Amino acid sequence: MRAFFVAGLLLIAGVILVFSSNGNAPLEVAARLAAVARTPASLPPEEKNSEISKVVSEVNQIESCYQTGTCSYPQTDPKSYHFAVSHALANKIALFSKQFGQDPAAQNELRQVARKAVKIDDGFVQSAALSIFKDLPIDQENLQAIGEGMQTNSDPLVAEQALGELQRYMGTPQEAKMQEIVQGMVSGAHFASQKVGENILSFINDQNFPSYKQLQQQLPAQSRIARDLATALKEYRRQRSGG
Amino acid sequence: MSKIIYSIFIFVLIQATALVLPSANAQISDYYMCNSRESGEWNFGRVPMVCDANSWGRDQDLVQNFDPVIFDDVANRTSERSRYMNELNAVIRDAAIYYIKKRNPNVGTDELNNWVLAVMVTATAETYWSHYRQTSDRRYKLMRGDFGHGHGMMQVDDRSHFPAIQQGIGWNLISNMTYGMDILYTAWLRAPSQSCVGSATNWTARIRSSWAAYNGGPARICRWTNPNDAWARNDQNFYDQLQNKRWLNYVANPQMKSSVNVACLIENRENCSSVGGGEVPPPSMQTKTLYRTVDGKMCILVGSQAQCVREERDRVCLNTLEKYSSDTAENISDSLLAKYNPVVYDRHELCSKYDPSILKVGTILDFVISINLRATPGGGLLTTVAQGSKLEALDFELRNAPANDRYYKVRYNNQVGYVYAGTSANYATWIVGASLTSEVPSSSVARMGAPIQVMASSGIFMRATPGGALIEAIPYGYRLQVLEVVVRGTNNEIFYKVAYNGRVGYIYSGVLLPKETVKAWTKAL
Repeated sequence: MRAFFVAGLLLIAGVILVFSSNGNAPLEVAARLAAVARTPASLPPEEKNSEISKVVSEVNQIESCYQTGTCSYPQTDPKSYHFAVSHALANKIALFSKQFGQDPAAQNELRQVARKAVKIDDGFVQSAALSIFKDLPIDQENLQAIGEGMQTNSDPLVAEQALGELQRYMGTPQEAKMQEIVQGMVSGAHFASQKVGENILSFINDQNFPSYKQLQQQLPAQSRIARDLATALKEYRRQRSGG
Repeated sequence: MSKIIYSIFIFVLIQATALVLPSANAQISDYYMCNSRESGEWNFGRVPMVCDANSWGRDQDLVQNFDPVIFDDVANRTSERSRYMNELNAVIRDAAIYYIKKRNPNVGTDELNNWVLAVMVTATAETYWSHYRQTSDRRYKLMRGDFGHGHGMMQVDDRSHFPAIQQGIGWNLISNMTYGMDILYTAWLRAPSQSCVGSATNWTARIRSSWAAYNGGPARICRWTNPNDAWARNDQNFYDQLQNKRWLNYVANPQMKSSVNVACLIENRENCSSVGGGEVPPPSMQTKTLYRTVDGKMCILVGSQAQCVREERDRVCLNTLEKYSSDTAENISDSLLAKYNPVVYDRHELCSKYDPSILKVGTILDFVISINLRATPGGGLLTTVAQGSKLEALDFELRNAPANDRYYKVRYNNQVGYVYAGTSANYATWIVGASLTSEVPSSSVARMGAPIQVMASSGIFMRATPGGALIEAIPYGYRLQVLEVVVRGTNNEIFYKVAYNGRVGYIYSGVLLPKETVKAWTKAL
């Protein structure tokens, strides 16, 4: 028992050191760990709001590091800074979501963080942002942010995740805007557009069938995206006509 | 009291561990899976380091698709570099042109030319055009930079969110270029709005900015304007290459035709025919010659009629109609093809006729031995399917006549990929068809004799033949027995022969490619 206790102390010390290496003061980390251990839902309102503000501030700080390139992340090769700061940002966003994702008091802050993050051209960050959107009500500004993010996205996994979120806008007043985003993704980055082609069927309906048909005919005939879109259109027709 | 302290301690320990582990798992070590590492020289084609290419894809497929652009270390260095550079120049040029025309069909000449230049300078700055190399021990190697995190010519990075490396995208030269161009083009589109560029036609600034973002991350797009940046030397070197175009010192024939089938490899990644013919289109079709149409069909002339398959990957099955002499395909126009009354064969019927030992889509495969599961038939290793596994064939591919290597697409432990299943001579030592009574996990395609239920909310039409004349509608929820399974088309369309209301006919039950829709039509009971 005593040996286990000592091992655990060493592990906690290691955790504190890890957080220290990412720019967090050890004592602050220890206090944060204690706050996490208490769970956010149990915090009194004032303390909770303070905690939310603190996390949002940290997200903004890391995001600033991402944009300026002037913080103390590793510069061992040209991309090491980008990957390190992106990981830190994605982890911070994921932690924010984990702590407060279900808390009504944090909904506005979660939305704002996700809207900024989904426009950052990094797969880890965009994925973390899309995970937040999934648990929020659909919203025109959320959709706008996702659309901007997908214009620069080349990550097929992010594209697939975004499609899952965009599907929620089918049959809503925002559907036209959503379809515009999806059709833009069809003509986007090569591997991301292939993932869109695989999943396009659920976005086709009677109203937009002609526009998807036109889009398909504009794509290179031998391209996989053109073939997959043709398959989806044919499948849709069959589903409407009984096979 | 001590029990309370220990309980609190364990709770905090678990919370701390949960916070640490996700970040730790996101990191990939330097020179991950870099076997038999060798050095090189800072000159075109041989930049250090290189590691075994077969960590990421099969050597057989590397040679088959990319032989002209493998740098041979034992050849005379000067002549080999000249040969290699001329071949690779054509590949880079064609890939860059295909890419931008696909993204922007209305691209102007100036933008197209500057984009091609941007891609060439990027390939120079990243790796001096180094990708595949056959070293003196005759092993095939792949270039690895940035402490092994950068893979191949465009330095596809294994720290990225999308596991491109595991998919074989970094290993495959054309996929490597395409993935790199995806990132470069994103920056290319952003650059004109940046203060350091200012306009779409400020080509030098636009090229420099695109590369700065490519090399250092999207936020570094104007990095080249800061002489004090940690990587300012990289930007200066890039500018030097942009101005001096040193690759042209080795490229005697910049307009040389590519020996590599770039367009096919961009879209299909592998199993592409070689590129043949001169600049002048053929005036007529010849026998024993393979032809490629604009939309990707492959055709041969049998008698006076053109006989075709819809996709390049099925061309080997044309050999059952008439053997063609070479895997080099000539391009043919639609108007010329039309003169020969082309017939397009269904891939399942034709390939089954060509090699009856190929197992049909929907068959349950019994794994005689453990076999690697790859993202594509020749590409990235995902996992290993255990001996004795029974998995459904979702797709097939036949290659390399007359040996007839076969591959099946399967789903194994939530991963989808392809397994190699031997040749027509030895397939039984790899995979056989499982008996109809075998217990199998859930499958997409119902087996012959199995009961199914109509799941399409409006019912399904029964037809005299697959996709043929209408007989009558079978309502939602009705239960049927599968009398026969028919698979048709390039997307593996499923049809079931059934009996309903005293009549026998065929019902449609969805596709397997690119994504399965069978369950929207019927459910196996």
